[in-house]
Amino acid sequence: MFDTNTELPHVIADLGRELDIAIIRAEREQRLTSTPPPRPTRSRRRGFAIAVAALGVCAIALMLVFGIGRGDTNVGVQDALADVADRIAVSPHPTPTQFQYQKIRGTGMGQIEGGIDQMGQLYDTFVYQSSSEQEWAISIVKNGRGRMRGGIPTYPTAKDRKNGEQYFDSFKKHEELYKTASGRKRLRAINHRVMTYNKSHGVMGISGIDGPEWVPATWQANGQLVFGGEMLTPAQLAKYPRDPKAIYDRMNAQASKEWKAQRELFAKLPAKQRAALIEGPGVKDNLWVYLTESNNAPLPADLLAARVRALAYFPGVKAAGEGTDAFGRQGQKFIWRDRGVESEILFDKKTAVLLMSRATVFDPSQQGVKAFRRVPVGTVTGSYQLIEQKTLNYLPTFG
Amino acid sequence: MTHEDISALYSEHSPLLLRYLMRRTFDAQAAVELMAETFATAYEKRAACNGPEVGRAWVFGIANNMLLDFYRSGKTERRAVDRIGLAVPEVHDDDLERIEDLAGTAELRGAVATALRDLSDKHRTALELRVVQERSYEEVAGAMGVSEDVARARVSRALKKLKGVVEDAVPVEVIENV
Repeated sequence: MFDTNTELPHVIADLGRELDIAIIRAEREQRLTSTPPPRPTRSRRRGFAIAVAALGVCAIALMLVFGIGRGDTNVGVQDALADVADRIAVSPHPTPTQFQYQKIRGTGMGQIEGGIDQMGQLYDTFVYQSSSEQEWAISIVKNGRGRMRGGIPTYPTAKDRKNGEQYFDSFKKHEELYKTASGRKRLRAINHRVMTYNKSHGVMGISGIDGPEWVPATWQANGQLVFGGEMLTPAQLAKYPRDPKAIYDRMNAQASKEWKAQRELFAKLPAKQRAALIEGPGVKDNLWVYLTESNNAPLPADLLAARVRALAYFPGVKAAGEGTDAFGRQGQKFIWRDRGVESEILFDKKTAVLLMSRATVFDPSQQGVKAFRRVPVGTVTGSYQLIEQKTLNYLPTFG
Repeated sequence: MTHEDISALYSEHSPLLLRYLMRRTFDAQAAVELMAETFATAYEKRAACNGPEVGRAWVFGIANNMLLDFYRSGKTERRAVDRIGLAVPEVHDDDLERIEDLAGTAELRGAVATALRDLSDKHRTALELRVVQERSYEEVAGAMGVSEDVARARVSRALKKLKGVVEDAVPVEVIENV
């Protein structure tokens, strides 16, 4: 036999684990797409066994009795999404004078000159729910180059680390700039806190507070918010279609428009940067974001629900049954696989809030960005995780 | 066979199979990919196997077929891997070292180099033309000024001599039973 003194390579264990995962998935899909009789191990209680036999082999009925999967591949992704949309409609929402608080962790991998950088951010966001009065949101962000989970190093090589640190240092310099910039415009005072907006840097902050870092605002000074890639005022949002197909078509058109603009920008990049990228995001990538993003803004519930339904028109979207987020919360999972990346979103089982969204590389060779082609399989190139959500009656004091 | 049987087969035989594949490709990443495609295929076709007792022979048989395709095309097809959605890990530097140790390929390379030197000129030339330069037997014959039959015989003899050098952990009967 071979020399057992040699420690076995990790890749054997990794492949074994991937094999188990793939087998479990394949089994589950097989089970859902066929009409199997009830498995003996599931019908321990005789009463159930008789009831099931009486129901016959109708797959949907079986799934209702045993809760096998979520019936997704049988009833289709459209119905699964409709289920989510319905629950958005019936879930409680903050009133116009309340704030929605969310604690979010976001990560993103980016191409920087010479390599890859990974950023992790922890956001506390407080969003005022009345979009007709105050057009602002506060984001208090703690930036960090957090180590990604799963043992994937923050930087693939020492050179990447050096590059990343330089990039981050320049980002920090910008933060200082935001803090000390002059020419702040004063807006309305709320609860004796002065909200200020610096038009030239697009930064919002709360004066008189120690600590929170300043970040570029997602809201703009003139009261618009971003939805489906467009900057819309509350009045325009009210006119945005609620028909799912119309939403899909409009976002698709916007995605194409955005893509064309990105291509023009791409052509203007210095040759060195262009060489490092193979291609930027495609139209579908933009569209996926528009259809699935968490806007962190007071969007009308009926519009959010309709947008979920619109996702059904996205080619390649699949209902993937149940999933869990990092905190073990269960949700309905939907995925899209394209060019070596699996994009995944998870809606809370009860409230249908977006719990998590993530892009995982399963085939690095298909990556559009050259530097990403050497990342390990399983690398998460971007993620959004909702940590906590609350409805508040007023802004908490800081410091 | 059930899917648990496949998982069990993997746990038990993957180190051996990896060594086997590594010795026949000298490429750790290719060996891992071949292993993935082998087990993905084994999973899909598990009904065709009579039971876990003949599992090892059966999996090696699949692996041998994968190897043949690999030799012919120079890459691993990922048909079964893609169908069941298996993510194939990438081999990193430290794993590469361990795989090479496991397969003893460093020593093997040395042994093969020695064996090559010991071949007579005509056998070594025939081998190089056929295996390294990937010429057809017709071309080998033409280059050496002999008939095609003689060319084939020389390549065959050279390979037999090398085969003796490749000391294998896999018992011969496992390969011959598939």
